[in-house]
Amino acid sequence: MRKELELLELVDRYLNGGLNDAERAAFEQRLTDNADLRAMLEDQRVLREGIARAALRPAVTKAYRAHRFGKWKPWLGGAFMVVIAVVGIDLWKRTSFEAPQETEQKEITDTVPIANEPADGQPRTTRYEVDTIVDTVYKVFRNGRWETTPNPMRESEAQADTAAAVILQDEHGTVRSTTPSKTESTMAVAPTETRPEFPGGMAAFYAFLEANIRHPDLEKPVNGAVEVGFTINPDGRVVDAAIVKGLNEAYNAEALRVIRSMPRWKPGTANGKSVPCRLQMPMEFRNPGAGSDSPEVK
Amino acid sequence: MSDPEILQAIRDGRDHAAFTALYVHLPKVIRLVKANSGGRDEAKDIFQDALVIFHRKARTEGFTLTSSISTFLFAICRNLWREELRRRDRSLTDWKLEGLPDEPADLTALLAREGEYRTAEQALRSLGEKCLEVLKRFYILHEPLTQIARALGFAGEGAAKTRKYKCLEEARRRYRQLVDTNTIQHA
Repeated sequence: MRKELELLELVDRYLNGGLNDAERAAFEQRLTDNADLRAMLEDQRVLREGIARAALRPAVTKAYRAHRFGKWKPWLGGAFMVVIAVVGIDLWKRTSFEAPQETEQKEITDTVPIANEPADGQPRTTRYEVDTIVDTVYKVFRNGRWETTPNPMRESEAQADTAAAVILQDEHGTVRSTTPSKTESTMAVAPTETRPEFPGGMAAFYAFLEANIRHPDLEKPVNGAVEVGFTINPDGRVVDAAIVKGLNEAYNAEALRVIRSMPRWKPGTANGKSVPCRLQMPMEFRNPGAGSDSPEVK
Repeated sequence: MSDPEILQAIRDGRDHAAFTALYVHLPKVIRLVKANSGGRDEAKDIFQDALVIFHRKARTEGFTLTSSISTFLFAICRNLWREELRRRDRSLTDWKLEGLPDEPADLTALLAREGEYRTAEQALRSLGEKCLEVLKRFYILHEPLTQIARALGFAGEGAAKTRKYKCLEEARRRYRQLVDTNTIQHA
């Protein structure tokens, strides 16, 4: 072992150029007739390159964070970027969701005009009946990550949830009483119905949007939200993507492009059967350097 | 930053500025990987590897860009991803990514060398933070052993030196192990 370390030290000094002429000549002589020593020299050389690579990693990782962060903190990157500040999903069910047999005749009590999509040059309006808002997810980008916040629209129901406290036991053995997270409780859809799901879940969905949204190439960037509606068909396909509330042509087009480029979802179901589901989602564009056209997201 | 500015930043040691500017090329790589049965994280990993390779290349004596940095990075990523897919499924030997031409021979040679260095890096990382820190400080930052001993809490210069050699020795053992496993897999 001791001998090994001595040899290693010699190789190390050779690589550092720390041997004098006589020592170096002797070492090189040893190299010619000692294959083990040659292998050791080569490995030490490679290891040094490995050290050099490893030394670069922190800078690479740090820059990655800056790159991600730069999307929200433009003064770091200086680049013009698009931010989805808020992605909320409002899920509408069609009437057929619960009472398929009555759909045709049922009196429409509350409607949301969803699509004004120019298809084949013909403006087309599809009307979806709002039955129940099954779930609403509000995500706000705060402190460098997405946080789920309760939807103000569901505040009353959320308060009702506080009555149902859960008992949790943490690792220290103390028992605490806590209320179920508002998100979790609103997720608790009636067991026979499930919401459509993006492959990989919501996190994957946000990642998809983030990776695919490009800023519309405008001379004058603006801040604001585009509200898009789209339907997840029983086969999981995204259809009828339409602007509910537009911002301007370029932003509307970009929002639609991204929505239409989504992979297939896992369709929503009712009573074990896949059913079409309508989702509505505000996509907020925030552009550094643009005037504040939209109120700050809380 | 323009390409020459990025190169200059790397030569001046302003790594953070250079890397941050280079990340604008990441989305393209994400699209490439996603189009070829990969995911975002995998794309990020190979892209970061390409950044490391590019940085090292840019620091070598007399390096000149023959193409744009973007093209260079993308070519490296394409290659790394192809390798990764081959590793997963050896039936893909003749598979070509999106019908793009193979890389020039010098790039292939560069990547083969960097592949060895990556294995060495992997071995070194497995030793733990302290070893890596000693080695980095000694070989990259060229700090004197006394200073290293003080910073990392070794008894003295001798202790730091012994630690350094022990780490190197263990790193070599693990590196050999990794090389052997890879050889068996590819045989």
